Amino acid sequence: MPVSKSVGARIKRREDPRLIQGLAHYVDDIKLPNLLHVAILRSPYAHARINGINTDAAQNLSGVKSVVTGDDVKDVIGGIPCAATDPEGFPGIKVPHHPVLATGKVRFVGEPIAAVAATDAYIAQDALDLIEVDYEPLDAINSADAAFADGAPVIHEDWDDNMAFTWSIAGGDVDAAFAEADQVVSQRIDHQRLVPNPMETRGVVAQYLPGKDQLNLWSSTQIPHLLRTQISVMLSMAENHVRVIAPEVGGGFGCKLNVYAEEALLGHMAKYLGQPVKWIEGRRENFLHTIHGRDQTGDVELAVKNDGTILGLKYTVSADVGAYYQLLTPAIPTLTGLMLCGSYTFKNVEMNLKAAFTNKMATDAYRGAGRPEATYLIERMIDVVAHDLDLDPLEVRRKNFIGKDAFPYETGTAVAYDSGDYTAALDKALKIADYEALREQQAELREEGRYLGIGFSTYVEICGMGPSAAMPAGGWESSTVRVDPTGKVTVLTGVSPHGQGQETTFAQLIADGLGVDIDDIRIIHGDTDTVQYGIGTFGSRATAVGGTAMVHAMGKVKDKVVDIAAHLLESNPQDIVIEDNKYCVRGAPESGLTLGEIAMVAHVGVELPEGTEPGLAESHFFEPPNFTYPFGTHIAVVEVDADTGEVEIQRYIAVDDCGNIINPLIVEGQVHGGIAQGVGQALYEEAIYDESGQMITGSFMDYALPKAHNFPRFELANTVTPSPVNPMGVKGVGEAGTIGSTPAIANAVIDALKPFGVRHIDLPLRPEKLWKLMQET
Amino acid sequence: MTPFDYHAPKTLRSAMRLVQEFGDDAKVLAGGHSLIPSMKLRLAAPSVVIDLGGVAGLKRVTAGNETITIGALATHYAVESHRLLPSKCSLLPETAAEIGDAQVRNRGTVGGSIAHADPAADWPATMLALDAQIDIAGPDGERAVAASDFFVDLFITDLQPGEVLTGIRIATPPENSGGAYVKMRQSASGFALAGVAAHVTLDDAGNCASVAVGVTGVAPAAYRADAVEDALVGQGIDAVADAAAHATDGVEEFQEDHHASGDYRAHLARVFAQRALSQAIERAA
Amino acid sequence: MKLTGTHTIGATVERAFELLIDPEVLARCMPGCDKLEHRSDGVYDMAVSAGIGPVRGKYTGSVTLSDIQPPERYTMVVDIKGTTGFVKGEGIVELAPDGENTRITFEGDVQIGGPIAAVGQRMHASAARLMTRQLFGAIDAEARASEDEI
Repeated sequence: MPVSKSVGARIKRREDPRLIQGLAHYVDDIKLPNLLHVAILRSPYAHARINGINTDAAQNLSGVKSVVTGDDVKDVIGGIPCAATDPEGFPGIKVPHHPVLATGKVRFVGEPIAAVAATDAYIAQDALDLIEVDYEPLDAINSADAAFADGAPVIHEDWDDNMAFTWSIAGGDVDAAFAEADQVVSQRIDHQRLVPNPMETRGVVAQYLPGKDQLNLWSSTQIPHLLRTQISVMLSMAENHVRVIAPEVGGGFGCKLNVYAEEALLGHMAKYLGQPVKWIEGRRENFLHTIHGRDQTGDVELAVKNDGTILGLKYTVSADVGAYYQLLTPAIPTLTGLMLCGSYTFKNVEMNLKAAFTNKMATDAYRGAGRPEATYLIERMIDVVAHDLDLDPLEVRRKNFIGKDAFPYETGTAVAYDSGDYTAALDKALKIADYEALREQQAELREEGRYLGIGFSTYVEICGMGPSAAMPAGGWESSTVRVDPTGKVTVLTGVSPHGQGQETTFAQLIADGLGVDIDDIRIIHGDTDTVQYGIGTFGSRATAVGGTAMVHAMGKVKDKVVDIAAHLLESNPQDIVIEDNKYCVRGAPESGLTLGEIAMVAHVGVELPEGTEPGLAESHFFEPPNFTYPFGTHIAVVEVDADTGEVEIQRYIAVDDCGNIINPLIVEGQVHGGIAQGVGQALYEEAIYDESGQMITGSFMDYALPKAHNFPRFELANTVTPSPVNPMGVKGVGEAGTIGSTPAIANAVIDALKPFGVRHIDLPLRPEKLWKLMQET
Repeated sequence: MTPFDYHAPKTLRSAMRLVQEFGDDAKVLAGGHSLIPSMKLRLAAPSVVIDLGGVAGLKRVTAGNETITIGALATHYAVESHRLLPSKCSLLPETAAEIGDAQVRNRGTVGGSIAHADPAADWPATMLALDAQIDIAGPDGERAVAASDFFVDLFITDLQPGEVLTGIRIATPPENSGGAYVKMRQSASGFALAGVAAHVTLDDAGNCASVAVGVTGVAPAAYRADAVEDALVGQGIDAVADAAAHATDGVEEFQEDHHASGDYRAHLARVFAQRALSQAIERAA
Repeated sequence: MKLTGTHTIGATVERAFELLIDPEVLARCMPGCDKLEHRSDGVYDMAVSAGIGPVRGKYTGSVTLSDIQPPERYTMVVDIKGTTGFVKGEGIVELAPDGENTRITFEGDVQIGGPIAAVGQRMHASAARLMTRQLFGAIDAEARASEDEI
């Protein structure tokens, strides 16, 4: 798309003034008359039988309106849904019933057991202390290995073991590749468990209007429409009597792409109590009972030639998915499988996954969702290959890159990369880094006993989720564009931005497309009574899919506007152009009409061309023909303190290609945050459950998020390879930074420790780990 | 909510009366950066909270030629930003700047941190290295305790029931002295995995006339590394490496958790002792 | 969490053993012990107000002494819970003469759950050791005091 005055410009986010001034309205800002406050009693045990619950004392506490247990709701609230349970896709899958409140047994610390509604949040919390639960503790399982061990306690007693499901993918001829190989390079790779930690925790307000039999549900969610469908099923209500509103949402990183116990529970309580109810998740609850990410451990084997050519890959992996499934739990590792070939030409590939039930919170989509695992393992393995064959990791990458003329390119995992030029991104990053000079500096510093490391990640990722064929019920997106009589434009979009800035980028597209001032455009999202059905924001899809739906709807509006303009100006539609935000006959700008003037005509209905409907609003539901595949090169330069093992990031260079760019400022912001989050996985973050299943990293005192002082100023650039998948040529950039940065940092740190013979280190790269490795040599 | 009585005395005298009246049932509130989070998490539920925030005269920081005084209610930022301290005793603002983040430093207090005696807090190391006197008011009047006698065990100090920490006094270091604080931040909390504060005064020959080293984050309580001091007195910078190797002599029990083992913390203490002492000597020269 | 340690008690092995399994002594010496009452063979109901720094909680539960082999060893199980969480510890206490004194070695496992588990992990080991230090320190003081009386 050509860069005109708005698209391509560094426009500041229109969302920010209200956020910065505290004028945004989050779930907790919603106050309704007679509002009751809900607190949830959660299991302190990882695995225990519940032999009894006594709520009498809590019920009797002054101010308590109601105490609800699993037995009270098991017949009126359906199970928490999982959308990926097809046994054809997941052979042998076990799908345990996932109640909103536990009955009979608890299976992880933080599992909801009872809910108290009271006149204020403090009383509700106090009442929790008065509920007596008779627990019979059972042995807990805190890893996939423990879950699969002989004699392991069984978490779901409907079955004999803890095998949750299996999943496999294979392409090409892996056996032949390994037979032909000069060497097989193997490494066990761990992807530690992570906590998404959005700035705003979850929260729900529910209100039931008996006169209309209507449930209004405000939730901090990424998927209001999908949530409405699921809530209507869980509560046996007609879907068109349920309204879900995602107000301002303070980040999600995937953890709000879900349906949670509290959403259904609050909906039920509002109806049952006849009073609105509110629950705001505490940070501790968020650590325990909002989905986690990653938690896979597997063995990677690469079949390679001595010159560094990769012939094939085998990945045998166990996933620790926790005690129950959330919405997409089993689907996440499948995205790992799709992207195993990375930016490289080998097509012989095989992944065999076994997933285990354990006494932990469920894993699900966390920024990157399956792709960071793929990128980390292939980018890490490229460096291991270089190490074993004594080659330059760059040389190994270049030797195996998919060439720029090969697109569209079908991989061994049968996905079709849309477009790319991996060498161009790499070359640009090397130039910014001044790579040769860095290697010289590294050699000089080593002489002084200082350890500089340079790490690469030449990633490709899969974005713009769908199409529907690959993601049933989650692949398309919708939009309505309407012009009011005065020429103000309202966009209804099915995506649900929560920090990505689409109120700005979408307005930029409309401003240029319809010839209207950006201040006259309003983007509405996140209200199922206002917006036509849509899917939501995740998988770096909002602009590539939702934006495209909007552009198509806008195109229909524009066709009509042009028809009316041509009629009014006594010209032909093909001669109408927009100049200075006026629709005019080419070459006669002085007699042009504004969008407002034309919109008024459309609504007055008197001067319309024959056969033209009055009004000015159009909708479009867009089905993308394919995913998009952003790519890029990240280079990290780190120094490891030889005495302490502490890592300092000295430089961070990122060249990302997300196709055409609508707003460079927003793209940079997404890349900044993404890099920080990926570095968090590389250096700091780890959710640890002890042997008894207690989460011992349950607060920011112990769970380390990356902080501003951990970073240098990022050096960012782009290459632009438009995607053929959508008319804007955009790919998506919400997850690229996260996916690209983890392996770049890991490779840099391990490169720094090369003189110590270090080949691989599992994440996070804590100083003590590095110090110990340096002591061993 | 567990109800509690909140008292906001305006004078030290009325604060003392309240502290003595309520004894063990009361918690004294300074900057509130340990007590309030504990109460919010329902891990602490004192029945009485005595807020010293309104007590006149406890917030002052002075830096005279003889003595530096820090009121118990002075914030970390008040020390970090004090106009005279960089020249009078740079170790104090240097330590303050290592604490938490800007919000914490603007609210948290020096006295609160010292009375709380978190085994990984930064101030105890520096107060030990500066041989600070801790001023305490109690039922029998006022007393002063040397920092080296103040930090007793895990969250346990020499403060007795009915007593309140009122301030810190430090002898203004002479011209030919210098200090440094070196720590590794625990990546989540920012507390010290290990932190070493060193303070030295040089003689005319450039050797150490006096040395004091405080270590935090390593043992159940911050401690003076006496063995390092003994090894370095009368010696110059060349002796620092050997002396620093004694930084954990006599420590029987090390802090350990998933962030760092006891062995690693001990190693860091020795490395940081060397770094802090080298810097301190350079600054003194 | 593994918990191990050694302490010295200023008394003969026989005397130290008597003190260690005497519920009245334990009630006096266990930090924050509000109640210790015999329930049945070797099982005592206990109430403690324990805490580290500002974190304080009231816990109730039981202490069980079993496998008692005077004067060499016994097994102790502590199982208590309160609103801030629960603690379950099981360990073997061994006594051996050390000159005129007794050397006590204990080795056990401690499980901590609930709110104190999630937010206080860095303190678990040192808090547990502090409490055992306080317990055996108090018993030592008791032993030395009773010696003075004799």
